[in-house]
Amino acid sequence: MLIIEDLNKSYSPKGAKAVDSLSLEVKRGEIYGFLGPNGAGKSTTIKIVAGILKRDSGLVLIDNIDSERFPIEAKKAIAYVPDTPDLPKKLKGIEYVNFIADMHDISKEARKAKTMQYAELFGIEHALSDKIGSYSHGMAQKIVLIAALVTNPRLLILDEPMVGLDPRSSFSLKELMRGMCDEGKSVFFSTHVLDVAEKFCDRIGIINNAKLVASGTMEELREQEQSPSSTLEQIFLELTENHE
Amino acid sequence: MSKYLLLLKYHLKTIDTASSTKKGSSATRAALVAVIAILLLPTYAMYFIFVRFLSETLALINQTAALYTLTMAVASMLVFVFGTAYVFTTFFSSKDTELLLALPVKPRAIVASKLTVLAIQYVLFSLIILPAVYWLAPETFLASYWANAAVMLIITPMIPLAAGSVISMCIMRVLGRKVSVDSAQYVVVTLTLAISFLISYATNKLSTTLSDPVSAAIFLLDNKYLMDLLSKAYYPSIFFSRAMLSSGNITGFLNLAIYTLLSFGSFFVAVLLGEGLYLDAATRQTSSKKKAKKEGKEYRFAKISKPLAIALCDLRVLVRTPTFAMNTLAMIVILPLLLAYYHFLLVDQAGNMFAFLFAAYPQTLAYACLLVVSLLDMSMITATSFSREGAGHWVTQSSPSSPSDQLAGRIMVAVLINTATSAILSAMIASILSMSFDNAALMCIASIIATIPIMLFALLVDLKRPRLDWDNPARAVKQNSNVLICLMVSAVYITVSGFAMYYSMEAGAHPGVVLIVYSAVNLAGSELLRRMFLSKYLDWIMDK
Repeated sequence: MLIIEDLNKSYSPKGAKAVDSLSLEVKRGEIYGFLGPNGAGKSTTIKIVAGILKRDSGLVLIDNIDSERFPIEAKKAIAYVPDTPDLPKKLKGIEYVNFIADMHDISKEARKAKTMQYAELFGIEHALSDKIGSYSHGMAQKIVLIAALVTNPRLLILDEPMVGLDPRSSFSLKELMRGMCDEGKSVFFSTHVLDVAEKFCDRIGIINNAKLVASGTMEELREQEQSPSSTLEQIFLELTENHE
Repeated sequence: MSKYLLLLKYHLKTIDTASSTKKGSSATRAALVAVIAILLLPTYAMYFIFVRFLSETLALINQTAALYTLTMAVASMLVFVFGTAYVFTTFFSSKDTELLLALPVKPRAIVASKLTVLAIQYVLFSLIILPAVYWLAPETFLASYWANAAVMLIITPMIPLAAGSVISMCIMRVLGRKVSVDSAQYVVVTLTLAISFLISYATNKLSTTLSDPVSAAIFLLDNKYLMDLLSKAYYPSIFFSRAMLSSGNITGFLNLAIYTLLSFGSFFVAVLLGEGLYLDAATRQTSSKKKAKKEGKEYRFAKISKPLAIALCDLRVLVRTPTFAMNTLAMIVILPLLLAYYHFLLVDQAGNMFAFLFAAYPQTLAYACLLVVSLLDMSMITATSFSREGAGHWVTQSSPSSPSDQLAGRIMVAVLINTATSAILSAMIASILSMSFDNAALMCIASIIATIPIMLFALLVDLKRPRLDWDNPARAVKQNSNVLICLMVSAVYITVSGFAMYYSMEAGAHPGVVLIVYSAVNLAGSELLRRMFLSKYLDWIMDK
């Protein structure tokens, strides 16, 4: 579903690389957790995949669509949820969802059914007609999630989605993500909650200093580190030691 | 005091009027500021010459002293009108409000530092007074004259800004718990404009009394008569005038002292009043309350085309953000109102001479069209189209909309607003000039078409370098160098068009034909810019 090959990005010509020769693959029906210390290059990688940042070199294929050559087609296949839900504050929640649905050509019936389903699931059906400017961080995060889910994406990309969500919503989101994968869709998300990544992700990638230092299932990561009983936290600390 | 200075330093550091993007070297930014300054210089030079002409005219009636009062009143009025709206957004719509209120400092330090920064920013308006100070300067160099002038120029914005702050905060106090900050801002702006209209009307009434023979006699006897009369429009201006006229003696010093005291006093009052009012308004509960969904209430779901969805989203944000609305939609209301106001005043005083002018010179049609274009271009809606999205720009960046969808949606808003404004303006002008319907319709259509290339150019500029890092909506539209650049380009284009029209009509071309050719040129230019937008969009929308 997502293939990244030899991806490179730096923010200034002579500056350090934000992403350095990164390659990874997210398979169909898979939840891929993307971990790394602050400033390691997680958000930059995610933003390149979402079509917000340009790459310097490398290849990004989304459902076999080259995101550089066919950016609009690639964006149709994905939904992106950023780490900070900066939204047009003067729009009402329902207006924002409708706007995103229009951008993805979602039919009236489909958007209506899904919006109400997800709004009730996240407990904000009462606030859909309020302006986003009056929302708390968590509510804004939920409205971004609802809009993303309404578009029925083949690949859901989330940058630290659990931040700001209450435990019930966090649980609901994980259930939804698993449900999507059962339907053959994929999820690519970054997180700092190692416990969630360990129990929930099919595969995990760890990025440090702009390079992918490990990628695979928990078993593969343990084999890679030659410590069969290690937790993800121990592996993460080992791989990112002396670099934070 | 030290906290006030620290906050002042913080506010000064967060002002960034020149850049639109985070990127770009300091050399590029400095070059941009230099280009803008160079472009503005000819305009200011023309104003300088105009003031000299005015001083010579006033000298003929022995009333040059009135120039001090007049320029001070105009400068203060402009600071009041433009500053009050900005004061409001600075105090009540800034993202740093929570950050500042959480600090262990007295609210008065916050209010004082914010007001000081505003006064520093609006000091540029003092340039309106400078030509009067220069042309009326004593022939031999007088240090005290220039010292007085320097002090006055620096403190000029304080009184109007303090007045604007008190009005804003009082309105928030009265309405704050009943209406939203946005609605209160609309009330503040309406009130400010109403006050300005009243002052303008009163000044106009005063000026009509000057044409009688008695006034002419008084002018010769009292060279400060007009100065005193005009000061009724803005009383503090009399102290400025007297201080300048009596520089170097005790009267001058006393008037300088009174004006300085008035400025700092009004500033102090605004800070003291603001302390309580600001804290009360800024700490109001604004979060979304959980309320039961009304029985049977249905949310509206409708699928619309992408360009329409983009246009609708843009329009909603425009209407619901007072600062944006005042810079764009307000033109529809304010421009025709101003035109009507001055039309009726002029008709009242001089009869409808414009109707005679149009009958004698049919070429006026083409120039009237250019006037409408220049008024329509003032809103520069598309120069901030992407900038207005601010931190939410990622929504556009990640959206699977094509360049043509984005172009159509954003231009649709501009054309819609321009069409409404042009229709009303053209109707007003047609009425003033006693123009036939077909001429009025041609003027309206040609002016709408003429704005399209400029709107497309502005959209391209904003696509390339949007100002997204604002913490106050006013910065997205008022302190956005894209607007200035596009206004300059528009002014140059209109001037060139004016010359081309003049020479064509001198050569015998019919004004109607000139407007049709003008429209064809604009359509061709629009097509070129459209193609450029479509080819650059996907590349320029990223990496912001």
